[in-house]
Amino acid sequence: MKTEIFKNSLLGQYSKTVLENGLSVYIMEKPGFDSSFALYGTKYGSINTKFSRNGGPDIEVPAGIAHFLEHKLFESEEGDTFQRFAKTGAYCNAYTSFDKTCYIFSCTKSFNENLDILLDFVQSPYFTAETVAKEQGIIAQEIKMYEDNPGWRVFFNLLRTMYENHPVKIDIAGTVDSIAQIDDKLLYECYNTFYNPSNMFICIAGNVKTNEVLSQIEKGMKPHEKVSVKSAVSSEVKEVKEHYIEQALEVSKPLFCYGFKDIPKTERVGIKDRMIAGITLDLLCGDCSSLYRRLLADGLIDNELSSEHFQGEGYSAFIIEGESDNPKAVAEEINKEIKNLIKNGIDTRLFEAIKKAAYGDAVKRFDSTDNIVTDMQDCAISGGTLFDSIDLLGSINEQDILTCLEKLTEPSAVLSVITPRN
Amino acid sequence: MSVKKINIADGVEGFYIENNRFNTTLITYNFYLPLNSNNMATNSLLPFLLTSCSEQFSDYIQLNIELLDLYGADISCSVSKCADLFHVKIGINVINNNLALLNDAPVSRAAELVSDLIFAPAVCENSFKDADVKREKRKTIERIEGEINNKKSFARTRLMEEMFGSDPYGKFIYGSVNEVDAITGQQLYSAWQELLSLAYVRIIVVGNEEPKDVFTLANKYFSSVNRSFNPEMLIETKYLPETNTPTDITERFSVTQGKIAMGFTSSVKGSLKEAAALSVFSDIFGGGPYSKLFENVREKQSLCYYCSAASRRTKGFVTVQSGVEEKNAQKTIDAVLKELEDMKNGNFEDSVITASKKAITDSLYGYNDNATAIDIWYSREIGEDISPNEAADIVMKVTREDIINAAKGVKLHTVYRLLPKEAE
Repeated sequence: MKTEIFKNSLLGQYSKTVLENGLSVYIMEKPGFDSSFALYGTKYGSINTKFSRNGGPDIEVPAGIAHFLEHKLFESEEGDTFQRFAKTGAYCNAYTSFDKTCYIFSCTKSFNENLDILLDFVQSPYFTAETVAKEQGIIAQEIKMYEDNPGWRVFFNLLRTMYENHPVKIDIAGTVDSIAQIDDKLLYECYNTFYNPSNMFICIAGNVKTNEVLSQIEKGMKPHEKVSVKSAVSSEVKEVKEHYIEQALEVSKPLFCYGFKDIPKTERVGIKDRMIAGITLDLLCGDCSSLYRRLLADGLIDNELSSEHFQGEGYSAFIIEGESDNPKAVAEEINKEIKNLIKNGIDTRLFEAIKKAAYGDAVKRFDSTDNIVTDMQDCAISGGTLFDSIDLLGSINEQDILTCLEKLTEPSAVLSVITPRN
Repeated sequence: MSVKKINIADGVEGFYIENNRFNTTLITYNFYLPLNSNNMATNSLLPFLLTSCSEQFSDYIQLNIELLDLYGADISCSVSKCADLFHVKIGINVINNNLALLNDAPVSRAAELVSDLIFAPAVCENSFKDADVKREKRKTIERIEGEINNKKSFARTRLMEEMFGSDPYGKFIYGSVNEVDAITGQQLYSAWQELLSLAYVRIIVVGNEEPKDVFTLANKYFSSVNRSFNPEMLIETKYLPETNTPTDITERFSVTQGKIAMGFTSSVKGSLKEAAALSVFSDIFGGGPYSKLFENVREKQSLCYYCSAASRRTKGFVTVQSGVEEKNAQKTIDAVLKELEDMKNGNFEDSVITASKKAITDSLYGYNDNATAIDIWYSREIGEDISPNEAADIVMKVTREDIINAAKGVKLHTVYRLLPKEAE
């Protein structure tokens, strides 16, 4: 067992421990709090559709299987996991994203009992042909629900137009056809590959004692076969497939997502580069930018634009979203502004104010056990520490922003639009 | 955690909720006026206008730069219905002074900023400025038109309109596009003056230091307002009478998945004990994953992806919402009604009562860890003034008989179906 402690004089400290079986455990004590929040996660998400196990040949599985597995793990031979948590009054849930699946609970009482349930059900897969068939109906409904969701569609249309090979282009839940191919045998195969301790992590924040929790987790570990897993993420081309995609849905006003594809130099984008990306997008199109002011004045937008640096294993993109009657004109204005900033430099006063706000935002994250655990999970997946976003802020300079802006080129851009049906 | 109540002016109270768990301080101004269909659209637009600029910060961008400089402080603004009261919330959340990088006292500056937005807006000759009004009207119209993008909440909005009919509670809070179009800067100015002089006001501060600045500033500003507050407006709530002939409405849209929203009246008329029974009923009926709707309608019969119930104690009604395929719509409605009958007949396990009470109280005990939840609690529980922990104690005392009685009082009133267009 190996433990590291990370400290910040104003915000406290937390520990990261790697158990003998390879499981990483992050714990932050919040003694004044009434509640605690725990997460048990695996580095297994919708993009992990092709992989090799213990050095064997590549295996390809249907899209949506990580999400399907998440649904099914809530059932065990002893019954439904929700019912077990119901006895303690804890809130429990789970989610699957592109690169992870996480099981969570929060509670104000009976933390130890709840942690035992979490450890037990995540380590106790139980799938039968009947339960798998029933879940196919439920998940098909979930997929259809997203088909009507304009915000979801505009985003995934962008991804499938931006990416040629990378599985990030496929909906997290898969398709009605792909989930129809899933059976209990496939679920066990994926479970046994990705739900092994060295591929997993536990994150906890709240009114807990680190040593007690660590010893409870060690006791709650079931024997696991040692597995090495290698994700075979298809290499992605630099070019986008198309520059424009459009779909009609029942919306009042067109929605758009304008994205710039970036091929990460390393497997994942480092923490400092992620921070630089966030500040760059704020400077470019945040609600204090000159671009935003101009778009408002020209009547091209009425509300704020939102932006994100979307990244994970083998993918990275800068995405700007909003509503406009003329998304193509907005995209042109964004392109002009990028060129203008590269040529004339950024607004220094605004840059400093955005950094000050980024500091405040980072501080605020520590007010919530939920956010602390979410950030720990990011550290488990992408590396770095909880205090990086505060410690590294001072080292980011104007040149970093200009270098980042150079990545936002027109050949790498895709505009996805949802238009009103009539 | 302690709660300190301070009288600031006639009908203006300060609540300081001391809590040293947070790195931030949350300050909110809460205004309450009687619900009125005629001025709802104007009153809903007003707070968004107030928080977009002021005399000092002439546009949204100037204001945002100030917020960035305040370590990314967040201004919040919302309108909602609190029983038969119209509730406006304007707030700011800012990091505590001890965490500031410079010696620039962010909490005091935030308190000044939020009061400035409320009391010193950008006005000219008894009217808000045309450009500002136009901008906010456009945003509100988008909000109204955008409502259709989220079919789940749209179905609920339509259910409320159909269920409550002429009662202003059923009206969509932002009004109609035509109503918003017709709003003038002068009307907004009058609405602003009324808000300051007639509303009951509750200023809530959740933080780790007594916010003397906040209450002193409020006192200073309110002393220049001619207050004519009438405490009687806080008392009466109208409840919807039950019906023997439920309304059933179907509307068709270009969607893949249909939505069902069902509205029920209840016999709860505001008492905390009855309301606690209704909330346990609604949780067992369709709240948690142990609920009858989740377990039977979703899990066993696989009729839908979600099917859940919620109760609104202050207005005494219950809703059920579900996402379904058209072929399962009637089956789902029948299944929901069957589960309700089961509840009335007491067909639920004791273990589910315990589970539900634990889940509700666990959530209430967790309020103290979330400044926003604390603020919402003390701004919604007006007239009761009980803490989340006290509310949890009342929930723990709910018996099986209380739940059956609550169930017996629940009667179907309206069914709203949002279904795919036939051609698709």
